[in-house]
Amino acid sequence: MENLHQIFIQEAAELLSELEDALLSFEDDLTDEDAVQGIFRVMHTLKGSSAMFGYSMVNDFTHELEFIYDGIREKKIIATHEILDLTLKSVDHLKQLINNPLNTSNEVKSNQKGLLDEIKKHTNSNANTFKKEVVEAHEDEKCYYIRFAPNKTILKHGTNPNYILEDLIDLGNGIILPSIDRIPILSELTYQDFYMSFEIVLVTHSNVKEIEEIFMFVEDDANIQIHQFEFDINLNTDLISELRESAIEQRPLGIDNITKILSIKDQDSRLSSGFFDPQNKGQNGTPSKSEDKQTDSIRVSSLKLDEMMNQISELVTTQARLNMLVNDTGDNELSAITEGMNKITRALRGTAFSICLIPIDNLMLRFKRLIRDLSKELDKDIEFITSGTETELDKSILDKLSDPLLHLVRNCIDHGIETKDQRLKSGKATKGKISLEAYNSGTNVVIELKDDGRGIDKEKIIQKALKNKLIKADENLTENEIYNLLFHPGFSTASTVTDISGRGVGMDVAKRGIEDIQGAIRIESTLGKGTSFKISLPLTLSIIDGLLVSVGNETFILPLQHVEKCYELPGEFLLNTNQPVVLDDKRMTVFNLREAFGYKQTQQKLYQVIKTKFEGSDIGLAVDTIIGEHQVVLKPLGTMYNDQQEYSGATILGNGSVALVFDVNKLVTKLTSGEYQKLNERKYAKQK
Amino acid sequence: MKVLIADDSESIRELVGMTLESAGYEVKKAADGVEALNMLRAEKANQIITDLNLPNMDGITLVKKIRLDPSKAGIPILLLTTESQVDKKEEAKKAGATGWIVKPFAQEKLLNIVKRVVR
Repeated sequence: MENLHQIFIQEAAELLSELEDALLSFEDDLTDEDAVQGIFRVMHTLKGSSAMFGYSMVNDFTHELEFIYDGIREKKIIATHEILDLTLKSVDHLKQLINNPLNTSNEVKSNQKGLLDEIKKHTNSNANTFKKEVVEAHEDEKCYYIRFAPNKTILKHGTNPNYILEDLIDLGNGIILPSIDRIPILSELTYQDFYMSFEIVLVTHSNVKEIEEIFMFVEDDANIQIHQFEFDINLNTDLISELRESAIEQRPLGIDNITKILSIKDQDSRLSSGFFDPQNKGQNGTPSKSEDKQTDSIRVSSLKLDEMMNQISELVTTQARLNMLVNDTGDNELSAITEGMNKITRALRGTAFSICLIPIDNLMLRFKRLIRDLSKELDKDIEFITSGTETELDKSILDKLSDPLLHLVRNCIDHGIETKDQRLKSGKATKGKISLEAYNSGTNVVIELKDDGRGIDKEKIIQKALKNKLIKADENLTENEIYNLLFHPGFSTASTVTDISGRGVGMDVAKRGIEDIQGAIRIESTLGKGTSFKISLPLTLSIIDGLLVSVGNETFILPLQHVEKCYELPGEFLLNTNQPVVLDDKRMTVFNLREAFGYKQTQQKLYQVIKTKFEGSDIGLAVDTIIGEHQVVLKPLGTMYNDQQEYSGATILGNGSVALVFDVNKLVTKLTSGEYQKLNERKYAKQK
Repeated sequence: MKVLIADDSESIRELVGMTLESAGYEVKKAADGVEALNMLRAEKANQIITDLNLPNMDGITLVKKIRLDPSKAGIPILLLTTESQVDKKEEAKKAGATGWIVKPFAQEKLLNIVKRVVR
């Protein structure tokens, strides 16, 4: 800075001598306009730089002096020798100020004042005062609507409208809604022109002046409106998406529309949050995603819903029969009408379903609490992450899911996540992670429970299983089969039975609970890294995608979720019941359902074998024919048949006949236990 | 980021140069309008700061000339002006200037205004 001062002083000295020169030649010709211009310019320069370097007296002085020559330049003041005299005296004074900047004696000051008074006489000027900006006190947050519509030519002035938008948003929290309504068609578009306009909703502590300041260079280049809202706004994601969506339909929105949206949302947030009450028996009429626009809801009793579902199912069934009949008649017009009815019925069924669907997040919330309490109790540090909480499930499924899932979560915390010390030792963060993720996959809902705990020790499982005589010593088990041992009743690797889990009652009950709702569970784990439980559930219990098969003179439905693959098998392979058969290079037991159900064995050339999974291993079910895929409405069999196990219900086919629907797990259980054999033997014994 | 400062006062050129260079800009200095144009022809600048009063070509003429050149379209031009020259602001704007900096200015204010128009 010292250096710069030196430069200034030198420069000022040069300027002053230049000024003196110019004044002297001006004196010779008072009409010389160029001379006036030169004089003015020097004074102006001196004024500017003196201010920069803190020579305020010089600045003030030159400021006033400049006026005279500005006036002369503009022909408002006539140059006279008197003025010249005064000016030259002023130059002397200035020289003194520059050479002795530290001299602020009264003499200097009064000299300046004297000269200034003289000067002012000529210019009639009032001291130019800075317009002092009134600094308003900052209040709390305010909400503004700002409309910024730049002129087409704004870019030509080197302005970048983006900077203005950035500066606006920097003031607080806001959303920018751009409008493209002024963009012409491609052939008329010129790249030098600017066609966008913007509406901004801004929540900030700043006042209007500060906002206006951002526009200071573009006041003349744009249409700017700033309006302050009277109410408070909480600019949350809800509101933002509401504004964005409305802007899609109409741009620009205009202040009236925006005011409307904001004031509605303002009221909204004051009303009680949410209608969904999970504890209540009654069910909500409309399940809504949390971002949904405001929708009305009604409470509906689940009984009424069940009844409605029933009636719709009946409708679907009757519809199917009608279809078959119409097909037979071949009447085109009738066909067309029934086709139309089909569409409506299907849509109706879809809507009815969605009414019974509830987002899963409520369940997740309960877990949050559980995890918190449990981790405190066990002195473990656990972070619970949920995602996909808006995924929806049928209410009845959700209800039956909570206990099994709860147990799995308890298990995670108890056995999965290690203590802080153990985690540190294995190089993990002390905070354990449990994540619950829900998503749709095809016609299923998948729920994944993952932890980054100690993983499953396969060796330990095998040891325990051997000890409890669940497996034989020489059995070669696949990874899946080993994990599935965990679900075996009476199995438990916990060395102590804790209050929380380990009694061996948990995991198998959990699995059964999941299977009761037509779900399946799969375990994946890496020792030392973590475990994941993958539960897949059908969207609904009452409609099944199934494989229609025939055994003997009966038809059955096999739920498609259990069907892995279908094979054709020549009859010779099934001569011995329960004989392992090799299919796709894998050995599997194939059950001859025809035989199991007591039908006489015919020399059937080909059997259809359906591969399914049972407790981790492949099982084949041999049927006479596979008729095809059918989507059927599952109906309960009725209280008289409560004792049976292997059928989850029945359905009415299009031709009016009844098909029983298999509960595959239970069916295979019964088959493997040899019960059918016993039943058949008894039957034959009686017949004899 | 290259900034061209055109001002007949050496001390101002130095001050502006120092301020901007300390903020990471590259600064080129011209003492009058003609020199400024020549420099711009030789090298591109991201921003131009010019005083209103320059010898050989005043600030507003300089702005007009710069704006005539399509290769310099959209470059922000800031004018250095004193608060008494309000009407000059209008004229400058019409000529195509982007904004203005009022003299005297504090170093920080200079930086803020520069940032307002070029990033």
